[in-house]
Amino acid sequence: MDDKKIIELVKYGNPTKCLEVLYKSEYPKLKKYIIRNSGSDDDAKDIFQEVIMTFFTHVKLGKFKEENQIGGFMYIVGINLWKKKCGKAVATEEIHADMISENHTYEYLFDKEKKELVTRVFQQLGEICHQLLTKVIFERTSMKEIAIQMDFPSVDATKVKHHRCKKKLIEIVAKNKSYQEQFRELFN
Amino acid sequence: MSTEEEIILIENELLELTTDAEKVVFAKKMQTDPRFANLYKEHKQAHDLVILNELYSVENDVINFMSKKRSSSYKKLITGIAVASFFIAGGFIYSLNEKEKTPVTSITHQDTLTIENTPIYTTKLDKITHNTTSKPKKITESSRIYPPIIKSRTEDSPFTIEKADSISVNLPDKAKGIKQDTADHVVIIETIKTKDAESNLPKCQFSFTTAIIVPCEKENNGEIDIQNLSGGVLPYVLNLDGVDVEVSNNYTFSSIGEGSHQLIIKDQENCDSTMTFIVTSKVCEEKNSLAFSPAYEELSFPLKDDFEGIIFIYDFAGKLVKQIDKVKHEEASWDGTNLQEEPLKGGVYMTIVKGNQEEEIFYITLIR
Repeated sequence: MDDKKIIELVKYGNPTKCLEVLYKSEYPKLKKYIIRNSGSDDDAKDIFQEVIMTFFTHVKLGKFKEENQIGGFMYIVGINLWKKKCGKAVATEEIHADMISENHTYEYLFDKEKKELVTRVFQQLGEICHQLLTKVIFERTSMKEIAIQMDFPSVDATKVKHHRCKKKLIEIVAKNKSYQEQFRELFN
Repeated sequence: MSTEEEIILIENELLELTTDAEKVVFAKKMQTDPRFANLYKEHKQAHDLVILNELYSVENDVINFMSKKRSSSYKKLITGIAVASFFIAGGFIYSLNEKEKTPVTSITHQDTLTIENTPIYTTKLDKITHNTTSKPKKITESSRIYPPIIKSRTEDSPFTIEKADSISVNLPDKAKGIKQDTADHVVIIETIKTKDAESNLPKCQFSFTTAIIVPCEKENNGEIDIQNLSGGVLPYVLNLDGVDVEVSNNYTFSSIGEGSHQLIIKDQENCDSTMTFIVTSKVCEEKNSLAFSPAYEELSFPLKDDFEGIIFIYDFAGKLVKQIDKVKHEEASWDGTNLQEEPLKGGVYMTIVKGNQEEEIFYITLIR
């Protein structure tokens, strides 16, 4: 499976389908680095877990530059995470700033507080809207397929429902000042 | 453009479905129409929230995936330790695990246990545990019969029985009087190897000492060393992973890689036995570190003359900064410049060399 296919799979489908491929191709390099730098196999696996999620997050949120190779990206993120874990500064000021912001994205988005906040929003949204938006945005399923899968009477009806759901999601966030502030932090 | 059309444009942009013409319209509106820009911001936020919410479940899948990898490594480690202990102690009978519990379910009558079809070649028995569930008052806990008394054999303990043997053990007073159906009983024989077992090896048993030189990761530079092989009729034929070799007492298998290797030992009377070596690997010293200063020289990549492939050079942020083709019978070198032929800053650059079937990594220190 080449980089293009992996990125397509992550972007347009379920990213977990390429876990085994990424583990086989990228984990040994990172493990080698971490063990050479006073880490253990378990440390390497912890770091790799974060690297995988950083990669998925970057691809899904459109932050992964496709001119970068997956292997290079994951390796560099892994090195940086390991250095941060060991309390070491990275090589140059410029690199430091760059990489901290990349890793920060992952750590920040996935902390417990943020997870609870996002979960609360989706609870208010309701199951049907949650499913519909997930299919459109996360899985990039076509309206035609969604109409069949979710048993909507027509493609147009699905589109209308989708617009209403998205509007509802925007309203939930807009109505709550606390959400607004926290989401501004999340995505800025 | 109506609001509905604007929303469709925004959604298409977010899902990367816009045509080139729509992209131009989108960019223009973002620059010139603050209301549109704000609408886009709201939709982008909602879009990212949906992705983020789903990524939380993906994270759980990733954690589960990595947990499985951890547990498989753990199992591997445990196996490695078990195998290592086998090797370190040396001189064991080949066919036994360090400590193996064999359940036997046949008890012929109430005062004597008859153990049939022991499913291991040679069992050195020094303890029998008799468990029962139906008469807890008679035997309230595992009754350890030690040393065992064997009706038809020597009463020495430990003792040896052979595969398919049937042995009878007189139950001591503590366990006598069990009258319930035999199906309720499970007798567990714990086989424990001790050095005494080697002294009277029956035919078809081999003993030897062994040592393993652990290979480097992804390399086949390990060795399995078999020494002082005895038992059976000389010469022996050793078969490791399907390759036969005739030996007397000692032999060293080289070119061993990480993984499972099956060894079959066969003597002149066609007695044979099989054992499996689980060979782990070690991380060897990184050899692929290079340094050069473009002010004085170009870096020549240490690749084989007939190697053909592409050299990708990345900076520390993972950005591809240079790509060099390596053609057969030609040297591949780097002058420290980027894709635009501009000099790069000093620092460490990661290089991935990709051929048709191989991949190699170099760490290059560029000195300015």
